[in-house]
Amino acid sequence: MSAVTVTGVLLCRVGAEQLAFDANQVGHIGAWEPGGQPTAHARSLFLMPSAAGKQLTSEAESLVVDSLEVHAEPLPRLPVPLALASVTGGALLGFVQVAGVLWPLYGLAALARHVRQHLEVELS
Amino acid sequence: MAEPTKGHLVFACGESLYGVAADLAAEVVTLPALTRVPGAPGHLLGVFAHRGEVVPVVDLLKLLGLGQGLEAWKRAVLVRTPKGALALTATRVAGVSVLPLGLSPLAADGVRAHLLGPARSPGGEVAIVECQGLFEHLSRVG
Repeated sequence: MSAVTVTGVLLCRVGAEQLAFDANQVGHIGAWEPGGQPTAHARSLFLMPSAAGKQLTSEAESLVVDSLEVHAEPLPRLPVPLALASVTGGALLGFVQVAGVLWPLYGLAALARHVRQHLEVELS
Repeated sequence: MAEPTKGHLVFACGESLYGVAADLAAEVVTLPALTRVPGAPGHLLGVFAHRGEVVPVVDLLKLLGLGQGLEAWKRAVLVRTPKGALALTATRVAGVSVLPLGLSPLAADGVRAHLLGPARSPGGEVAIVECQGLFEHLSRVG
């Protein structure tokens, strides 16, 4: 069975943590500043307060990360271990490995929805 | 007739000894920096890549409610089941012991239902990890 590959990945920093998204799922990238339009923050996933960053938008859902870089080369998508299959509402799609570092790869809309529905309420 | 036995890798995690069937214990690994996965339960410390596979690391102390675990575990026993791999945190590898089969679970339900024993080894009493059941338990509790 051939491995699934992802071509074009956004490698996002959130504090000292890291998340990745398939760039093809991202419709728009803009800046977000404190006091801006309320939106879901990836920092909520790590129990950190919101901060200025980049706002990624997909399917009417958006999520703010601290910073990002684009990895354009194709990467094999490693499957999610069963023990992690249901975390973050199933938004975890797999993992990609870049320069020896493992990045969790998420569906942007699903993760943003999960944060909006489950985390920001708990933190408020 | 002698009771059936099997070789087990015995390791310490905190104060207690645990055993995993030698044919499921793939290797003892030095843990690299782990990638945290948000939303994972506290006993899942993170994941690392090992030979092209993503392996979750399970803090046995936290899983069993025996304490807070360590900030930085250095070693783990990599266990391979038909449904995937897991790394169980270890403070020390005690060696290989032949332990009896057919021991009873330590509890009727919960995670301790997947610990059998105790079995006697040269180093002391060992709780045998029933790896496939533990794997399925972890997959259910997420």
